[in-house]
Amino acid sequence: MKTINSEHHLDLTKEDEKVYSTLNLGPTHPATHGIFQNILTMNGETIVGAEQTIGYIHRAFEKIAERRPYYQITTLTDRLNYCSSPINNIGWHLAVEKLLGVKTTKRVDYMRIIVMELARIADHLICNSVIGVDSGALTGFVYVFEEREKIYEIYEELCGARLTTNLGRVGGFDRDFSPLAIQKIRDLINGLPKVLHEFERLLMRNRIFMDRTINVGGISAERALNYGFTGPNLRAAGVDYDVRVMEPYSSYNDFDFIVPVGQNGDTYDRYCVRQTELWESIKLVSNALDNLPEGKFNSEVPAFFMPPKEDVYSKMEPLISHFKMVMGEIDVPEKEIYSAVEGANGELGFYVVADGGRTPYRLHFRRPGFIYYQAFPEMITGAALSDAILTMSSMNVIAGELDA
Amino acid sequence: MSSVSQYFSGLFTGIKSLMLGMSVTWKELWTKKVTQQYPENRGTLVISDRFRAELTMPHDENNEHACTACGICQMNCPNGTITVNSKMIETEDGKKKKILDTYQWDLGMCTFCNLCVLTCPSDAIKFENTFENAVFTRSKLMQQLNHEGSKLREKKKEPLIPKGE
Repeated sequence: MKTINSEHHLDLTKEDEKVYSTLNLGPTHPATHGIFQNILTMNGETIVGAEQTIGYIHRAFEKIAERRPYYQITTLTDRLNYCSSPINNIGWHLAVEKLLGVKTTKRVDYMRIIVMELARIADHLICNSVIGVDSGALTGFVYVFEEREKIYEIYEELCGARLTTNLGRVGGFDRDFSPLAIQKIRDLINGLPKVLHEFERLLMRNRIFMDRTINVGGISAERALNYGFTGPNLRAAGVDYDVRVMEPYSSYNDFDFIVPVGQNGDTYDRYCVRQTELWESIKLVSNALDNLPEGKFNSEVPAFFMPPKEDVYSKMEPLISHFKMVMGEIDVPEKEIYSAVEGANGELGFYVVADGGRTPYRLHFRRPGFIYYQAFPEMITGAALSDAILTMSSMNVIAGELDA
Repeated sequence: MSSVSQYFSGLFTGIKSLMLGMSVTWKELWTKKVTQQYPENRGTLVISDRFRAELTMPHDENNEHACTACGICQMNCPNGTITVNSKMIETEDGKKKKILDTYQWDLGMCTFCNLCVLTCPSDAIKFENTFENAVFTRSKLMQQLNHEGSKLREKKKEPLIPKGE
């Protein structure tokens, strides 16, 4: 078996090898919070070369998906970025809807926006507070976790699960929002600003935090674009690219929101971009909730979407479409589509090749975490070891998404 | 002289910051607690009705369920958690009929994705919010959902699971 050797990779001379030491950061290092292996070549405290290994929790989702009907793939998308699984679920539903060429109602769109923005808030809260933890400030993490718990309780009320939500279905939702869920969302968006202010007072202008994060793990806009960065990491580098604005899906164009942009692309800018996005997400949730139109929570195209259970039990046509649907015999066009949503850490894309059968012929998840991790060695070369850990947590690379 | 004043100003700053910190602690001491004392608060614990924790098959007072043994849940389970065993019987008027024999659910393999409940055309199964599923042996995770001696209820009756759940 070939072993990975970073000295060999760097073409070091015999003299250099005496000076440099090799350090395994991971795969199960607690500071990497995830299963990442980094083989670092260190000169004292400075990193001179890094090589990363991926695939420790590779579960071959894209291959498994080739054997599953379209609506069963939702359970796989839960396990990509598990900090914000509703975005993945809804992203997949939107991809299938694009493939089938059907439009959902405004109510479904607005409900989706509420859920997706809640998921974004939960994800950003974790990411930003973990930057604090990795720089030595554990307090903020505990402050915001109470709010994250409230978001998870909202998921519980909406769909019945906390982490791997499997929320909604192709064409909308399986159930309407309950009045308790709407009450909980309102309570959350009323209480969240206070906690966020408190959290920002802890870190945003904290001298120690700023010294630890400014000019740490920076990447230029050009390099970031070349790597294919998206989401908060690209916006921190100064490129105003947001899928919600560039290619609006799920009626995002009905809303007014700011896309925050940074300058240096360093850890502090990424933190600030996420923090600003949190405020925008709160506004989006409250706007969508206030303007939630009346109507059905599920689109009524019985050939593609599940009909109501009462009709299935008593009428012939809905029974036929129900069985066609759940046995995967719906008429899918032969088509190739790419559909993307703005995930919490970048553009989450679904590339589907359909051959008209019950399962996709080929499926590719464009996982932002995978792309960020490719740039990781370049971003940490020349930095200290403790900065590498900060850089990693600020990029929001999530192991489940990286390896799919 | 300056060292003496520095000593005292440092002392007072220290006391002041200590008081400031303690005032926050004092305030937090009297705010409402958000943590839950879990095993002790079982009586007042609120779990969402929609919480997916345990698959059940509701039976009515005559020990009748709504499962027609069509097997669609078994087909749609991503993990192969459900096994529907059916048998053929002969009814009174001499017709052959497929009925449910045993409905096996393996809790240990379930991902709680709700697809079986969504796909069931006759609303025969339901996820309950009873979340305390821990057992000591793996064999106890295999559960039989239909009760002993239960039968299929007639189609005309009111559904077992109320509308809108």
